[in-house]
Amino acid sequence: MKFLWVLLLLLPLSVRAATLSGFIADQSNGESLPYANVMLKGSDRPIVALSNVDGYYAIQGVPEDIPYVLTISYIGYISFQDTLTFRTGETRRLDVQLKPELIVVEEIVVEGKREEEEQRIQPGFVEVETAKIREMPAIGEADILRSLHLLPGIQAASDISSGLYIRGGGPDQTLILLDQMPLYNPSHAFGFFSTFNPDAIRDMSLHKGAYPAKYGGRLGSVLDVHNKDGNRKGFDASGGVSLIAARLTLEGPTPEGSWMVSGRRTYIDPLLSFIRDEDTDVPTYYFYDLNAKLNQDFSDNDKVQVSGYFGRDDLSFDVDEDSFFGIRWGNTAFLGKWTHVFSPALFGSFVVASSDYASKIELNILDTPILLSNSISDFTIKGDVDWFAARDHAISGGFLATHYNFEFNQEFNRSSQFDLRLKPNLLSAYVQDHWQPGSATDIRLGLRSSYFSAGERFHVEPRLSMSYRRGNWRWKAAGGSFHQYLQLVTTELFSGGDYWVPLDESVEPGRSWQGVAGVEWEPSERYQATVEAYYTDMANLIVLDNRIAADIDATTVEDTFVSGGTGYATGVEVFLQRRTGRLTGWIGYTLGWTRRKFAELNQGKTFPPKYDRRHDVSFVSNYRLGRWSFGANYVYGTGQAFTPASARYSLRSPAVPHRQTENLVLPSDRNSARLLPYQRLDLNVKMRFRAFEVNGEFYVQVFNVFNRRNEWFVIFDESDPDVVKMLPIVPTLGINFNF
Amino acid sequence: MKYVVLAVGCLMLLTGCEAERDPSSLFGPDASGVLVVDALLIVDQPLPRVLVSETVKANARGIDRLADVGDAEVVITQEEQTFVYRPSLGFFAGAYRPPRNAPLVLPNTAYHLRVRSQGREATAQTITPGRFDIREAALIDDETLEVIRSLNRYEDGNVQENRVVYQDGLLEMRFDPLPASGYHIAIESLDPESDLVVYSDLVDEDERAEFARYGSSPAFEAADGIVRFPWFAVAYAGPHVIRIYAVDKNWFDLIRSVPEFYQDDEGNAFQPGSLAGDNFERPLFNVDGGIGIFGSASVDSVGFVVLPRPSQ
Repeated sequence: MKFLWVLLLLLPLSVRAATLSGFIADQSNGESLPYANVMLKGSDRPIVALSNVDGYYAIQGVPEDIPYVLTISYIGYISFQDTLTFRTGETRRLDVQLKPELIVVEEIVVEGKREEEEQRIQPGFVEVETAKIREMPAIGEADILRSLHLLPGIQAASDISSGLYIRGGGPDQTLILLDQMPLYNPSHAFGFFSTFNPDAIRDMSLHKGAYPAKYGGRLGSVLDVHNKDGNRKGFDASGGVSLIAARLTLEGPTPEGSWMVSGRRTYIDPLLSFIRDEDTDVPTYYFYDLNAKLNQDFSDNDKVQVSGYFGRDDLSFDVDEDSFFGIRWGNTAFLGKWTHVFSPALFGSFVVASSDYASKIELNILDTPILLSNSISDFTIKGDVDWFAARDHAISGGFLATHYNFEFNQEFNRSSQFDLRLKPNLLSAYVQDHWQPGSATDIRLGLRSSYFSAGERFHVEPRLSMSYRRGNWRWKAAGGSFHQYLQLVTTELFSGGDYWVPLDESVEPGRSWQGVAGVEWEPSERYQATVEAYYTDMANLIVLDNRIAADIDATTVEDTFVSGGTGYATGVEVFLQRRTGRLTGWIGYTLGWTRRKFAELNQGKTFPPKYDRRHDVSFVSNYRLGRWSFGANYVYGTGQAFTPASARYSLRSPAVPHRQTENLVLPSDRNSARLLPYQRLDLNVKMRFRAFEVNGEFYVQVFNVFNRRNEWFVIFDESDPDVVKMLPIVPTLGINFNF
Repeated sequence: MKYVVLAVGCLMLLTGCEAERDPSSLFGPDASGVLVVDALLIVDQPLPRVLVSETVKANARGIDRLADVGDAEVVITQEEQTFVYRPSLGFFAGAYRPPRNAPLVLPNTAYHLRVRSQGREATAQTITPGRFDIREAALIDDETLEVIRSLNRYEDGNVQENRVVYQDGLLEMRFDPLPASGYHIAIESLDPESDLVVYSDLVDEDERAEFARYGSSPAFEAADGIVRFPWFAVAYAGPHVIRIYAVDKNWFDLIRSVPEFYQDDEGNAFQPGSLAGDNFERPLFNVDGGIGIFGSASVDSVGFVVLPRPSQ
């Protein structure tokens, strides 16, 4: 609280100056434009502000009787300009709708520059436009999580997995939000696809590290995804058909708002049913997801939003009367949000949300039933306030209260082996000040505190980021402390069985310190180069103990996890972008090191996790030529770490008759060798067309053009080692439409 | 930019083809020549043979008796008593037998093993569990879990009367849990000529021919003193014996860290909690100066006869 008072004392009094505020939206569909750039240029130094996540902006302390040129800009939109003069103490509301550039000239490739708040201040921040994701070659379906793997500092564990391994952290260390609702298992098809339907997504931003105080609860990074609000100007339909799934998105206006519904479903199951007969056992599998959103303006200052997500995967296989298996999992999330403009300088957003993830695995093997079910659900009340306190200060604050409900149940052969039910609470609050001491300098100071009832943990986490611009160069740095109270148990092949566990009083919650520093060079609007270095120190890490007994009577986290781990991740990322023109794309390079140390693993010695990658290169390009566009992705990475064999030995199997001899392999130090380097080239060709008043796009894409079977992992047994490979060449095609 | 694209394209063509891996690159630093000890003490049974061998190179094809260590000095001590082992004539070179007058293994007693060979020394200790007794064995209803009938114990009478139809009901065993580290179950089909009772589509004809007549479980704790035997562990008709071992820490640690003892080699590759292939870890041996097992257990057993389902 003292921190807040210090901030308040720093604020200059501006009672007699004027105030300008309003919402910024897209003229074509009424969608709000977050982080748009607002600049008032007069005789004094320019006054700069940015709209918040709901498109609201405010500038306090504008001197009176001076003519100002107001410029509001946003990438891909024609800038709004007007000349304004303010009277003493005037409060002016100016809602602005920007016209998309593509509407003006159909064939001009989007030009423009968007310098949003996060990108300006926060190193490691990336915003990926949905349109860019759709341009990239993919396997079957465009996928936002897979597209992120092409950015420096972000890796995939395998071709099979859409999990995010960001700057040396595991997938559990990234907070994934959809419209502010956490999604606990954002994957379909055992992790092959993410739950995000690209047709429903408006924008997506990623903090790769040292994220600001408004977020919390993860050691590493934050992925913040927002669904479309819906078209406020007219009915719109879009969709597509690929070899895997069909998608349809509908959106349109309400009298004072908008709505959007988007759905996607696979159709593998009806295809499989054609080959299923009495002699051929074929499993049944499908997934679907549904996004919906309703926006309603009750006044100029009051907006209400209701949104929801519902997704399911279902796999079942009836082998015979004695044996079957069935796996079902999915996320459900709902959100109600009210935004209110209390005064031109005070904007509030209040949320009631609930998110639920559940999975159930039922097997019956030769009349022996096995059941594994788990669920995590939360109910959250959240409030955020943006106070545009003065020309130089924008203060944000907020609170969050979440009630969790965890259930984990395991039964074997009609006996309950594990039945865990926990209902902890999380309380968090934050405050941060975005201070602009000069037109070239941005400083953001933040403080987040949190209390977790399981184990009665209380932590205060300082956050800091700053940037300084001189000419075409910008220097940035950030740092902070982070804690994590939930632990994900996952495997890259089978995310359907993933489950979350709250950390109780038996183990300390995970802790990390992160520092990031970088420099950005923009010689022109077309090119941008970024170099960033990062270091993360981690403590109190835990991993599942794979050696626990089959029916352990565990009551604490300490009983089932290996705890007390430490580690670090460090590296340098280079990112070169060509952002405009017919040829766009980027080259990314990461040089990184990641290490872990647990007293109970690897005989207490430090080891690299499997996803430690020394060199990682990605090349992404897209070339447009009239109705055609051509895309290419190329990835090269140091081979993943694996544990080699150091010797063979034999032991007699305990308990079995005559103590049968097993020939066994003795491992060397954990992850002390490397698989062959990973390489992959993906290509696509797209052709746009228009027929019967419908805009369409036909595409052909090829994943892994070289058909290089990259190595995945090694299995050692008594014969020669077996190297398991990843995916071969996968060609797919499909069609997208919009009307 | 176009030159960059061209350069990257050439690089991709040059490097994109699949590379051949040198198999020796899958092996780490050589750890051959490490002493491997292998001895399990069973309460109320004679001291066991001790097998001594050594590790061989990781690229060795199989392990034959060349790995046996025939010149070892093997000693087991229990309080003041010392049992000097001798090479086990008629057995293979690395097998050592206890003195003829050695007493039976005592419950709740510490035993120490020392093995020396060519300047190498391996030592280990085990504390034997107390005597273990299965209090009750019964066939229960698989829906209501109520006892259908109790099974005869070996000491009670004829276990041949313990006839159960394959997959009809459940075999349940109850016991008073010991302060042991855990339990380990084994099953053995006693008639090598008996017929298969598994006719599931889960297994094809080739697999049926290779079904073993014995098997064992993973490590488990059974804190409630109840074990329900899974039918998937039974493959043959005819007489069977189920043995439940109450095991010491060394035995427990070994079976929970060497999954090959109870599942296929691929079985642990996708285990939850880690990345694929990331579970290849050094087992928990509890042997100083070497590897292997020097553990102990007490055991009790139940006999029964499996009848095929009437439809079979």
